[in-house]
Amino acid sequence: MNEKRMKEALESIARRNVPENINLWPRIETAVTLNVSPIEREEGERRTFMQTLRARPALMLLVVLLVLSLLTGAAYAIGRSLGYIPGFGLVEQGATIRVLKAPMSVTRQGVTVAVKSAILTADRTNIEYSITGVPPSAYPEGEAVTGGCIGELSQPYLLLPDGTKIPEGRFLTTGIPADVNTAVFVLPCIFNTLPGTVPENWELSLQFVPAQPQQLTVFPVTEIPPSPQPTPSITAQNPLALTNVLDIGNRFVLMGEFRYDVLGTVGDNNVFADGSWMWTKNVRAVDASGREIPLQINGDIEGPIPSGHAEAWMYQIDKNFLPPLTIYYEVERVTPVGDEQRAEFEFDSGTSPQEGMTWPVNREFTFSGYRIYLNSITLEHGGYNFHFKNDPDVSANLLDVEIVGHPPFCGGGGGGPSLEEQELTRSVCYGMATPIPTGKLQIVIKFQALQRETQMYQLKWEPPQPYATATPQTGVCLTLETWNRLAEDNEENPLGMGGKIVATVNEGGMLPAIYVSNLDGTILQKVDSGAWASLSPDGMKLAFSASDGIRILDLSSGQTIGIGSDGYRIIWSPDGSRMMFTATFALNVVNADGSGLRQIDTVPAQVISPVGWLPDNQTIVYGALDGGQFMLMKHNLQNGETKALFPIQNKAGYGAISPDGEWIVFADRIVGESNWGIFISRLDGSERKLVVEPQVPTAFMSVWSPDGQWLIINTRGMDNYDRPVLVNPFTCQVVPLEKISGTVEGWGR
Amino acid sequence: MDERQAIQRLKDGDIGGLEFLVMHHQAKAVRVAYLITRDFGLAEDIVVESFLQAYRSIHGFDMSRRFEPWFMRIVVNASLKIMQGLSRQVGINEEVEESLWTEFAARVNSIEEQVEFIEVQNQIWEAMEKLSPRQRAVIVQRYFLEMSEAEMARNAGTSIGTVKWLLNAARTRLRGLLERSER
Repeated sequence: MNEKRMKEALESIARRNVPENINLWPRIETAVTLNVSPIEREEGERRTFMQTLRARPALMLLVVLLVLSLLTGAAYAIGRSLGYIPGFGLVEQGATIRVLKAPMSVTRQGVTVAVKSAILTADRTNIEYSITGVPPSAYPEGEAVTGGCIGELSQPYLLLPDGTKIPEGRFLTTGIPADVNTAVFVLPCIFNTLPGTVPENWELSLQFVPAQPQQLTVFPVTEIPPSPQPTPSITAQNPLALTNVLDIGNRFVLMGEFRYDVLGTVGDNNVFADGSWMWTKNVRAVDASGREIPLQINGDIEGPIPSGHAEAWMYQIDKNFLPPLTIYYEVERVTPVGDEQRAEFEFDSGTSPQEGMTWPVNREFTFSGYRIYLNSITLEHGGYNFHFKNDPDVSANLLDVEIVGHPPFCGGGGGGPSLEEQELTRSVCYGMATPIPTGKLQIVIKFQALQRETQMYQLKWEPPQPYATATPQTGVCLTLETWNRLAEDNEENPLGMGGKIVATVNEGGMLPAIYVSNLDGTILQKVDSGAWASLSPDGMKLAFSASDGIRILDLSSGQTIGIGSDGYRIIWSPDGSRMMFTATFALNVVNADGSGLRQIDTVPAQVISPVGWLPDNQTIVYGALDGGQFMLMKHNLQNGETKALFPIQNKAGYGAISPDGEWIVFADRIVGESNWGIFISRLDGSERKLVVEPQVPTAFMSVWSPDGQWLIINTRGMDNYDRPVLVNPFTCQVVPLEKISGTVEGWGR
Repeated sequence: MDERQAIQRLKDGDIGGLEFLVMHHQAKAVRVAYLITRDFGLAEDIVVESFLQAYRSIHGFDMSRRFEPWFMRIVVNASLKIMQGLSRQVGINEEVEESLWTEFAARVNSIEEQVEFIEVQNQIWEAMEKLSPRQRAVIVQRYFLEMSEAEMARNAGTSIGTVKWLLNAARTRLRGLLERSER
């Protein structure tokens, strides 16, 4: 299909399903006005984005799924001993934090309501829940609806044993008493659904338990006075100041101000005495090596409140930079030149103009030496558009249009940047409630010449050396700090380990290329293209998923056989006689020669993911998607005996069993983290240990060495290249595999 | 008021600027979110949230750039984030899904000239349901928002090569599905 037809098709689909006259403004306006505008913020009252969310009846699914990343946590306060929970914010250090004992879910008529996690502190409650499986037909499609699940009615709440109700809107300002360890999560109905279309009155019983260290990462927060002065380093020339720095583990949070009043006398709205104003064009951070350090937004911590005529700023940066750090603050000062100039003319739109109508005007005006040509006026959504064609540089000045006697909702001034746009459109719009004026209208064109000057300010910050890094969780082998240092580490394969590695590399083709090599990258051989490459334990055969199904390649003879079945996540038995693989909903086992294909009788699940074999060659382990998590199951192929092991939360259900069958490596979610960590544990879930902290970007899949002592962890660098790393999960020795490209999928003898 | 003035007003704390932006971008934004999520109610929620996010971070917006690409990036990312969150619940996960397209990879045949447009639309819509959210997102960005691969890479913080690969995978799978639906 060519691109034009694809676009047309998508346009048509979208238009069919999303009406043109959609109006989200009332919801957005309510949300914003219940919060506070930046101007009001300067006047002292300060609310948070989360208060906006709290005040809204329900953004339901969206909000709850985003809640961990959007929560604005406790306000920063000097002098308190604080900890930081990523996604939750600041907490008192040492405070008791409770979490959900187990995720809960209820499914009715195909709709599932699940409470996935909870974090409870003395003064805050955070519940993460989701609603899935709601059919599109349950939602209105632009028709007028009487009743339905909206507003307060749709708001979930926690029901405590004594009958107290805590509505969702108060979760973040209400703590559940320490002696209350149960509550019922009540969802009266599902937001915006039509009456009778989906089940109502949902109730899920929750239990809260004290958080264990492995369930919750609480980074100690260290307050660092900005260097070199302990106080804001505002000088007569430099309005840029660093006011505070928080060390929250692997990142610093920098807080500061840009003080307009350092640059001159400032009045209301930070307008200077000469009528000029400033706006921030760009903020950058560069380290001593000249590398630009990404400035991130931290939504968990409230930023500083600016004092007087200042703009406050707060950015978060990763610690992997070479100090000192220079912050560049680029602003533009805009100064009116001369008086405002005006021109008027009459325009008749008729008594009942329709949207889409165009009136040619073809009038030329001259302001401050600029020729400005008004081509036409159109009536579009919400008001009139005036289409100009101008000399270059007009857009760098203020050009505005008014209709006399009809103050627009969104008319008025404002300037643009200095762009040489020669075609400009100015709109006069009237909001949703105000009728658009019609008939003979007096139009005023206003022009204000502006002078623009870009100014750059900078400050340097030298963090304390050494960095006050976070206390890692006990026994974590690969931290972000370690991982960052690996790039400088030349110690490759110091133990002389051997064996064959299979890795897949995206080379732009439809299927990734499959390479087999030694662990040190030598004897590299591109064997084929395909996915889910799996090396037999003896390193002699390679199974992979190709376009025509699973193939088995004999690496010594080069002969390939196909088993005639599609599938993925192929895992060889320890003796190399069989393989198991999945076709999403079913688990299959096949002999190494492609014969004997059979489906395994697994527990019913939405997705089945193979994990590994035990040394007896008869017992397999697989993950079965159950609600929001994969339950690991052990299954004996001979007698059919099946036993649940423990749940993991990674979206593919991947894990790998060590060759001796004693350990399992898996990716699992850590409450409060947006990424997953890599863990090992015994098969019953005991002796669980975090091997790779979640800040290290990893794939789900990890690979055991043939002797079961090492893991290859597939990480991915900032440059988007794969960086497989050898980690001994027992001794925590870490070795980079710089010579191996791509994603390592298997390691044979 | 034009778009830049609206943004400047918003930077100055005047939510009238936000209404202008909402009025001009909401329909397209909801369509983008809908094409990715296939859920109208969810798409509306995502766009409301995206505008709030834009409002919250407008001070960091570079006025020398166009608002629409900046905002649509927020919408696409929010849609993806939601879908990724949902995928944890329903198992429509990217890694699984991306593996499935291999099933279709060899069945690619151009069908574009063989069927009527309206029929293709329905097939596309059905086929898109079977794509992973990320694949849907790249299709929407490339064909609906008409973004270049370079823009998509910049937005996703990834390399052009990765975008090419994703796009190719999505396109290939879509074609495979379309062809299958023809049979």
